Amino acid sequence: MVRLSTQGRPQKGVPFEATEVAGKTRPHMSHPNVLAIATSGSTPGREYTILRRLAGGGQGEVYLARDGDREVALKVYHAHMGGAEQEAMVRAQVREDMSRTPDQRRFVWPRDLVRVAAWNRWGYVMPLVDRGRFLDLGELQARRGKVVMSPRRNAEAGYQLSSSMRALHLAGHCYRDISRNNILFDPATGEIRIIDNDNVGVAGDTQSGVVGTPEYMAPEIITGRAAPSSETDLHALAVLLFEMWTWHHPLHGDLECRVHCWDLPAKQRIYGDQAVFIFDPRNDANRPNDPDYRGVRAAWEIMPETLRRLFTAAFTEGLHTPARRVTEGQWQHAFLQLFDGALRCPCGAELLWDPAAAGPLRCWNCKKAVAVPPRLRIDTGAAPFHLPLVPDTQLLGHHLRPSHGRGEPPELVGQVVPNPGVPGMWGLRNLSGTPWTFVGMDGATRLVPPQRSAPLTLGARVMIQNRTCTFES
Amino acid sequence: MSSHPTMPFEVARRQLHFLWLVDYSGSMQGAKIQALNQAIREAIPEIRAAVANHPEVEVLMRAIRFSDIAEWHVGPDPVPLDQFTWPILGTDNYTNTAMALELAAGELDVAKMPRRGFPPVLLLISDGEASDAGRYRAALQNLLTLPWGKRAVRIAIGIGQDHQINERELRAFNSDVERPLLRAHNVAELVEQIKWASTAATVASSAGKSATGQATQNVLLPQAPAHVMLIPNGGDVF
Ligand SMILES: [Zn+2]
Repeated sequence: MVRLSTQGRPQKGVPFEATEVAGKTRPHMSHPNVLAIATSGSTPGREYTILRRLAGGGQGEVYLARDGDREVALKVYHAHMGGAEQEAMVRAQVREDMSRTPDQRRFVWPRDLVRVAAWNRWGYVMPLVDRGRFLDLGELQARRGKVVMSPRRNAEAGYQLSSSMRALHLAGHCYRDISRNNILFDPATGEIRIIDNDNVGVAGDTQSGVVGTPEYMAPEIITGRAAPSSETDLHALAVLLFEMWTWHHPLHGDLECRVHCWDLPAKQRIYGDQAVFIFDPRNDANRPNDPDYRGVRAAWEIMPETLRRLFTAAFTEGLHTPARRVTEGQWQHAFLQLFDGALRCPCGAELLWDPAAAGPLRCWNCKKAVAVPPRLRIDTGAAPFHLPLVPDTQLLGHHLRPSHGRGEPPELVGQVVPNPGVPGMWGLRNLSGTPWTFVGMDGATRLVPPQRSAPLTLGARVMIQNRTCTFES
Repeated sequence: MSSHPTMPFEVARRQLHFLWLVDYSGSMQGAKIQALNQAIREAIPEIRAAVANHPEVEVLMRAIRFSDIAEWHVGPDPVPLDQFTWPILGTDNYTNTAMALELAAGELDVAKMPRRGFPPVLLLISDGEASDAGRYRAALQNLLTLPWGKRAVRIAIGIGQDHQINERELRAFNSDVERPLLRAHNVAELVEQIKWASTAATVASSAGKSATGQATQNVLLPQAPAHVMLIPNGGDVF
């Protein structure tokens, strides 16, 4: 049997003597009338017309395809990659509905398994991602000066990423290959998309061929002691989050810098059992001292303290003790808090107020101290949530219950409003359907029915949905 | 939003040295050398595109041409990829592959290479066998003793029919000797092989990609796409 190349029909070879080089060769031609037929999924037999190639990768190629008047992406596996095990994994994914929650919908999930008879290949159909809007981290870095993600958008993206990974893990899956190649960001909103989901498997199942991308592999995978799992996903997640906040790898310090030729054996050394975090407070062997590494030193300096603590935990005790890794829930809580603590310095820079930080808030841009507004401290049962109070601040359901994640649309519970009778005085209006209890400084309680407001009084408390909330400054 | 101050993030870079080693002996005359010139000119923008979103990778390119002697076609000073242009190459008489390797080895010396780099890429393109086989073997042996030489991603492309090239000689150059030699029997294949090898080697050397198990090489170079090329009936075979 003659195997055709994945570039479609075979090109006719022209011997060198018979021709001059004329015009451009076209290795990736269009594919008129090549059909992919769904063999499993919502509608077996559905026909997709392959239009053109979008991208190629190690496992296969991705094409633009049409389904009626709708455009979709269609991945076709290389002959040597798409084995029966891979097909079984994708078949199982197609059966799973991943469109029910916002956390699930960020996964660009396989919808239909297809057969491309003309190429004797199989593949799958997935939603098309707008690559003009969604960029990977490298694209963000390469476009520096044109598009940048603000700190608040970065917090939003961090929240969405950890929240979606939590949902995936709760469903018993592991992703196996979290890396900068597979997570896309909309820098204008912080929204994310997770692509290349065909390696997502059942946790503990070692059938998938993909073990990760070296930069993101946990030490126990690098050394061959463990297979990808939700615990190794947590390591990869922390590495990617660190890169989003520093544009640098958490293990690239002096030890990496001294390596002349950065190849796989070198990566195995730096990412394996000898791995040391560049800001490990107890081990300074791998500090990023090189002048070229000033970027990561500056980024660490201005990073919110909450994140510094989490990254330190993730890459010290969490590095070699998988059970001690920072969980998605911890990241989720931190990013929700930072997102809601975003302030604008008079110089124009966006700042993230951080309850973990000691001393006054300093602007990372102009270095001046910035006044922090009063806050509502919400005792959530776990770590308290601190909501800065400025005109129009909204109290939302997830502020009261951070571990439940954010609803979509968010549940509006209250809002900061001016007291119409007394200029300069403010209140928190009850926009929920149930009354609150206001506890004044004298200990006296008053009811705050829906549409009425609790006065913003330093030290006073409001009981909202069984949570104790305290006005602080 | 763009008028607001932006976070002072910076990407630390490593250099990737890319060397073309190109045969311009007399047998390359005609369509082969024209195809080669065209292929390399077309490959440059594809390599640029492949690393465009990897600001951590700084590709520096040079080229050595060899016939009776080997000399710099572009170099010895490395040229940043975005400034690299390919000067049209003519043909000459011999195939001094050995001297080309010697010239390359001289540049892979630890003292001349960057403090921090990715594995260099050496792409050897030839349509014959080395004029001096003994000197070629010695030059290759020497290259492989150099720290940067043995870690380089080395790919040879053999141009022409089976009886014209010395497959064993060219395969010995490859960093993965288990791999089949990349072959170009005609213009279309030559263009495609040059583009694939130059782009795949650059990406494999520098950008992190998903891995599928224990590596046997020091870089993860993907498999070359499999091709079946049909020779039209009646055409002359070179
Ligand atoms: Zn400022």
